[in-house]
Amino acid sequence: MTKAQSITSAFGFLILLGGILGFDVAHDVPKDALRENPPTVDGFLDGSWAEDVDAFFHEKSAFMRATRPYRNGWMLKYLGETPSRIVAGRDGWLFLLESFQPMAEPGHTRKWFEMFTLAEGIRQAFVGPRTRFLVLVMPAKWRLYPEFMPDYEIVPGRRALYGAVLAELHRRGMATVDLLSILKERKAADPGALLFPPNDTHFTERGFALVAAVVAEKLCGVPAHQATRRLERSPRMCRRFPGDLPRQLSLDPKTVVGNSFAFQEEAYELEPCFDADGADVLVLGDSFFLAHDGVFQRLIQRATGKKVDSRFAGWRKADVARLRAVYGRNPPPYVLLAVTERRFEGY
Amino acid sequence: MVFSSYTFLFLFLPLVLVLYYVLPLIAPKRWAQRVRDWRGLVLLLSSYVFYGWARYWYVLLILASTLVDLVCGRLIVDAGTRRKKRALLLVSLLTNLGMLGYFKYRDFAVDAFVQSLGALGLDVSDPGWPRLVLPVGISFYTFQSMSYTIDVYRGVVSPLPWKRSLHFISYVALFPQLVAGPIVRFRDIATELVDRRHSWSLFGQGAFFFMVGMAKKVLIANRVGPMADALFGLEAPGALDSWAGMVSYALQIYFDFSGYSDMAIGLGMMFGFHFPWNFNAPYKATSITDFWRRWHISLSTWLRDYLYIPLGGNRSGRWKTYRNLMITMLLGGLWHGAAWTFVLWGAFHGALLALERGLGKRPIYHRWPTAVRVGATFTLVLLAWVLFRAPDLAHAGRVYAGLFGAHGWGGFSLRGPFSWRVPAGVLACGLLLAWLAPTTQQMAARGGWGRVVVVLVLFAVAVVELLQSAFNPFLYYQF
Repeated sequence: MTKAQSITSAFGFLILLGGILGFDVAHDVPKDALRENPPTVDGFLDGSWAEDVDAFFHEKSAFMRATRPYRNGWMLKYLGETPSRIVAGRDGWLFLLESFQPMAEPGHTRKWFEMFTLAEGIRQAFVGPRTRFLVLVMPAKWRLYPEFMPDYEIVPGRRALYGAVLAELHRRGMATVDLLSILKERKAADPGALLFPPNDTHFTERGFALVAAVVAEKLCGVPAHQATRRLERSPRMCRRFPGDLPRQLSLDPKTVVGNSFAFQEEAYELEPCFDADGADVLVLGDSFFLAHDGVFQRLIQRATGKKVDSRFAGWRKADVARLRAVYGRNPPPYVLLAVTERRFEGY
Repeated sequence: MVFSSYTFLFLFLPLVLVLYYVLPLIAPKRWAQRVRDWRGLVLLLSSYVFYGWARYWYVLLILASTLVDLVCGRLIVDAGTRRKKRALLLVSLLTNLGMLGYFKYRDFAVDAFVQSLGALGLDVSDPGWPRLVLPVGISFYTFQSMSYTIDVYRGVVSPLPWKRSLHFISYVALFPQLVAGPIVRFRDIATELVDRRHSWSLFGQGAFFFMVGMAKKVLIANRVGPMADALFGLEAPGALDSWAGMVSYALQIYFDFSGYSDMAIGLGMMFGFHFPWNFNAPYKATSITDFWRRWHISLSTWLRDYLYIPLGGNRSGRWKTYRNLMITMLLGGLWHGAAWTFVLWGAFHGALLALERGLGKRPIYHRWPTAVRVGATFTLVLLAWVLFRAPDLAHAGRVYAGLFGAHGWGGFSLRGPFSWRVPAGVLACGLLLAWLAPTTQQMAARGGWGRVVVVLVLFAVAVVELLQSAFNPFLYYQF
């Protein structure tokens, strides 16, 4: 190695170390480290102070946070690698690991979550001669687009979950719809019109519109062609949808890397939901229906022409008693519980 | 503190470099008269901060080992009779080996004792002592410190005068190589402890070594490590998984440890030291004897000079040579950890070394093409790594059975939910680098602008990757 090359190595090394340190000092990281972890004699003696400071720098480095979106984007784009919760599929598609990993060890007996208890509670609270109740099970993305999945063996119990949930709903006498079959039919009819975007765990707006039309028909008795026509006449605009999966990779849609994962789609421009007691349709659902700024319930409102009150049903529980207090003796004529399939099974 | 941590890279190292190079220039003159070796003092204090960062009592242990050897070394020279010299040497050996034995092997010995009594039908309950925490680097610095006393006893090195005690204390505690080697002998750096030259050129070479080491560690070892962990987490691994996991571990331990050694050597250069090489492309070895000339060179030469040769080496006939090889490798295995798996790993290598010795200087396999010999040696080393990595013998047995299809041929499941292409590509790249790439010392010697730029880019990528990644173990810290 020549002297010039050695000196270049030395300066390059020092500039890199000094640059990163300078960046973090400019963002007050060392100051924050000391403020959040004030040195104590006990902490020094048992080594906990040093460990806390190490952990603080590792988690809070401003340089690390600034470079993470680029690093994650690069890893995903060129190596197909992602942090543990997200799985890279084929052709740039992303999946949530929880949506297809085993819910229980092979050989274990299936154990249902309280979701069925919740559904029973809602039925008991509202359903009567004047109220219709429908439970909608949202299938996972990989069921509709297995061709974009990575080489991953899904255990039989997980694969059979969707069918098992529908069967259990039938056994309990609850009205439901096999949404997966309807979605598959639509996909076969028009494969180019995506019902799930590559970058999100939820439906596209087109997918939500399809399901809203199904709800309008199966729950509210609106003829399918009428519901579809109402939706088709709704104003729409083109937009780039950043998706929830790139966000979980810390990919900022404002950066070039983050923006490259955005999905171009037609979004509906709809009026907000009625969202008050006295509505015709009560939509209860999990985080799935909060996606796209609550477009699902707004689409139902448009497709049915009825007032919709949407409420979050939580992870496993909904406050049925509170709903009863709100609606009292005048329950809405239509109640929908819409949750994703994985909410039904536990470990 | 770990080299590949934020605290070391961006706080400790810059601060020490600044103090080391700037303090002598700005210190008041009246201080300069009192403290002659500012830089030595900075190195010593920073080494103790480095070592005691998470456990302050580690410093007391290293200080005890250092002081005993410092005093024994000095007294050995002054002792009038051979008997007194031997007694002082014995004090040094017993102190160092006693510390090492207590912290590293006490639990192992107690377990073995209780189990053997149980096997004899005697119902002896476990004494219930709390498990000991192994002080990081104790295996390295005790060997290093002990070598000084032995060399003084043998007359190979001159002991330091009392007024130079600081240099010896610095020698044992030098943070670049304190916790995972290379095991530096006192005679290797005795001159540099007192008087060393600093230049941008040497500093730059040190930076080059450090950056290559960091890239090896973060970009290769940390990538293949999870696959190795996955294999040793499987109860009944299939053949493909077993082979992939075994190769992953071979690459992980090589790039992890040689990366660490490169960083240590590089840091040494930044502070004006020339530490010995620790690796010389070991997976290019054409025999097991050749492998041990290339792998962890500072340990293998230590064991040769302080154990194998004193046992008689190869001077006392064929069978005693085999015995000496076996003893050396068994103890070498045990040095790595207190477990039967390490003992068997040492025995496996000892047996292979004895076998090669028995086949003579020109055995039949010397006629084979080099690629075949490299492949055969690598396969034997791979098989031995299973023992080295497995948590117990039963687990090692399951992996060996898996290698030959006892649990089916299986798939490439170690990759987890990811595409097989990336992990397979990383394994292939790792193997190609291990077999075909020049060593770090060859790269530094050849130089070239292309190499410098590539190494700087790889270091930058490694730093970014390091800060994002949660998987960052240093394998040899546990030894």
